[in-house]
Amino acid sequence: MKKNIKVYTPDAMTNKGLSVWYNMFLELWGSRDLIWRLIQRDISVRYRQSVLGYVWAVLPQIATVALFTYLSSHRVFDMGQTQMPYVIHALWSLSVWQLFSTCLIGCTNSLVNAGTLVTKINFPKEALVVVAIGQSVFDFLIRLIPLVVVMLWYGFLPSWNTLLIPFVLFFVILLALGVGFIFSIITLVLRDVGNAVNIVLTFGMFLSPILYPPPVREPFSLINTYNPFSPLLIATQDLLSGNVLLYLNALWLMIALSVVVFLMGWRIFHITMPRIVERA
Amino acid sequence: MEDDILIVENVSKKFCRSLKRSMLYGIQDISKDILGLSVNSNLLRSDEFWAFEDLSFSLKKGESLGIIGPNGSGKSTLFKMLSGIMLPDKGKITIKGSLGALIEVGAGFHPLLSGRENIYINASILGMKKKEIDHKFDEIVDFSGLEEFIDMPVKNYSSGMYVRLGFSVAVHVVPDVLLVDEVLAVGDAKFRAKSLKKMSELMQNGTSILLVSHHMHLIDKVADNSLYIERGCKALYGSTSDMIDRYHQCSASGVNDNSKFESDNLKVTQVLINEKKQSDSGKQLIIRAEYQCKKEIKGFFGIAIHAENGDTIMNYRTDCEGHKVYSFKQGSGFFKLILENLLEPGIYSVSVSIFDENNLGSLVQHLREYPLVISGGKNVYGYINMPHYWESS
Repeated sequence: MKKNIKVYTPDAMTNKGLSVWYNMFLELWGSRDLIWRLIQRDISVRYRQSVLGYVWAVLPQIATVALFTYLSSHRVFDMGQTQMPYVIHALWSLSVWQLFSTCLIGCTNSLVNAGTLVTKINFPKEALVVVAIGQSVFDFLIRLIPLVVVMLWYGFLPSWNTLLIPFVLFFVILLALGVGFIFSIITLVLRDVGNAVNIVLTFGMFLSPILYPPPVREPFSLINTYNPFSPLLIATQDLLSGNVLLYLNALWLMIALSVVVFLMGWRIFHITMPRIVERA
Repeated sequence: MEDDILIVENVSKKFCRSLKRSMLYGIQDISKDILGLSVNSNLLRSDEFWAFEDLSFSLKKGESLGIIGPNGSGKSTLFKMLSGIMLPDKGKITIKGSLGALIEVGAGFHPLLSGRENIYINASILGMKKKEIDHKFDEIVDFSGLEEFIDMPVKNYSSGMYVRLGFSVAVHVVPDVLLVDEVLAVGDAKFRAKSLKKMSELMQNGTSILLVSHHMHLIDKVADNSLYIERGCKALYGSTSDMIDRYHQCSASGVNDNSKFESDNLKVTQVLINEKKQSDSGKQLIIRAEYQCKKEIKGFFGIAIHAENGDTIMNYRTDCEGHKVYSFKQGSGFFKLILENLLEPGIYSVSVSIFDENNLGSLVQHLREYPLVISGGKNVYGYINMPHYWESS
């Protein structure tokens, strides 16, 4: 009979080497049942006490895009020329942004929301953070419905490159997860992080080419150069409209960065968990 | 050592008194952890203290261990370390097999979901696979006794029902080592009996059980050996009845925080119980009160014995029993009460009082001032052991 022997010592978490990564992966893989079940729970509970239900997932975004479409069509702002019809550009970009921001917010609050589960029961806590992704992805898929309706209305046909979009979105999620891992443990002891994330994300939305096309003139184009989110977002826009990928180098850099951030976040989360639980 | 399933070697854990320092130390330790530097967790920094030190014990398959100690002695901390939620600051814990913990029953229940959905979620959190849950689902529901409410959202459950559901899930995980932290105190008598039966069933099937409780009769029933832990002391390991005695003695020393009243002319200087503060059940109990008197005074006296919770078990007064008024002469003297000791093992306290002649007011009142420990370990279900016999047909 296979026996799993566990040994707890003061430096159990700091052992170096590849075996740690192997163990971390095994732990996460072992909790896939739990993750799936918790995702189902979150989705089924989310709108249980509401009449409009899933409509709430799409309503804020439709309202925002409607407002900006109105303002731009009346020349209050000059949004410039977008590759796709403005409504499609804005709806799509906003969906991608929402995917990132809800992932990050969800991950950040995941441990606090779990309450005594974190401090009283031992199970891979990574699962709780990963579960927050499920909700965001689900909402993202729902938000695609109005987008498809608008595309049909405009007679807009997405290019074949669209099929590559999930590949880019995967790294968007990975980036959010990596940062979320670290934020979630800090939030356990310092609740400030949750508020700070909300504010930064509100600014971030306007600093990314979501409601306007990627600026090409100096100094506004700097927003693209230095906003780490922009290359990923612009890549999805280009893939959807079938354009050539303009910022390919930046895209690869961001993909590499999100992998690094994810692995670092995960590792730090794993190391610090026992110490944080003591103080939570 | 080969067949030991749980081995705890020289484990210590420290905590910090100040929240700010605790955060600061946390940041230091975490940075060191991440950079791979050694943390030196065996040294105390300012404001830190050892919650418990140098604890060692081991547990064999199917064995049970009671853990006894006053509040704040580190019982829950120990459980958190055994389950791997916290790491020890010194020493080593080895567990050969799976571990289940009933530390907080029903943690992770979602109020909006039905009992059925919550069973599945809670069981997955505790490490069960879907197939196992499907297989054991009926058993879990049956054990909880909540068949008719299983599709109702748990927010409408009573607190007892909540605990019953949580407990049912937890015991059906069938771990190699089960930690039980004072959860059986909730739930009605029927469910408690059921839970005890389930635990002994688990033990027969090879599960080792660690039980924390302040209910000595529970520990007595479940555990053969016990660990007595107290803050700032070395933990003691021994037979359950010895450890229960030890706990009773320790708790008794904390009883006398009650009102004490004395008049200027008359003082009770010392109360001796059987010459020692201890007595074995079934023998003679002598309570002797010595007084110091400055001026002759007349009055009555009384002695009472109280249970641990403060209830008065008996209260004997000379005036109520028709004795003549007693005159306390100048100087010192004593009065004593001699009774047959019918008390069951446990912690009791003794009150001594003197009333004035007209029975209008107390001259001396030492309420629950003197601890009385009846040792003997076993049979700690009631207060009084009356002479009795059984008949049956």
